Amino acid sequence: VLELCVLALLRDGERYSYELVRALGDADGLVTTEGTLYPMLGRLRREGVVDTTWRESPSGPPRRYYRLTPDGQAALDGFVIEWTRFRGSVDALLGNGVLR
Amino acid sequence: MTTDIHPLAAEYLERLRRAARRVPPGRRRELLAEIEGHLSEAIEPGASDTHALTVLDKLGDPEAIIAAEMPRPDESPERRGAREWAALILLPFGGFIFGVGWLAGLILLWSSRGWTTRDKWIGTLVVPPSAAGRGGSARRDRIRPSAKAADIERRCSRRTKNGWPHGSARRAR
Repeated sequence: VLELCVLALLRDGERYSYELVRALGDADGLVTTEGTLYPMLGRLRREGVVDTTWRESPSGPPRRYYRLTPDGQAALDGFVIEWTRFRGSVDALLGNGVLR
Repeated sequence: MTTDIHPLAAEYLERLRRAARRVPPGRRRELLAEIEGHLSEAIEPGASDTHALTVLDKLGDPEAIIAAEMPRPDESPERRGAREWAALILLPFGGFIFGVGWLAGLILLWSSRGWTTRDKWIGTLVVPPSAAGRGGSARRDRIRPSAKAADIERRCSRRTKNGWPHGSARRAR
């Protein structure tokens, strides 16, 4: 799911690694250690769902910008459909009091 | 690399570098660059120790980061398995096995994730005489197939030592 959250964060355009990691780190209950997200970003690059470019930053070392590839966009679209269905089912069960 | 860095961040990076020794070189370089970027974004050189410790605590233990970076058993394109060895043997010598061994080697070569497309083309275009399917010529050129094998072998081991064969050039930019 975390991988797909990264793809979702990139839906509206590119972001650099630190932005991505902080956005995930600040989401409640999603991430315990921010550092382990970097290996995950590496996996996404190798899987070809994101593409990256290094660019100079106004301060400090160069930043690595991530953006979705067509494969990444397709993976995200599939996930959104699946997730909506899954959430709908769980919400319906909770709402009906079945799981209380 | 980074000149201005908080002492606690520098200490953390040093621990990470030590722990990262067992990570393949290409991945190690990328990971260290990312974490270094994170630290320089999050901790000003003159920040308080308390702030630095909070950032480092959120980042997590270097060992845990390295554990997450270690290649999983299902993604090991830089390692040579049975498929890669079979391709290495069948490409130069497979022609002797009823003439179809070379073709089998070719299929194994192209279906493997262990080599770059360039390596695969080299393996394909360097056709050993044994694959020409003529018994006579295969016997006359007995020396040459092994020279080809050694050449392919050499390319592969060089690739392996470099770390990631996949997209390393692309990522380097």
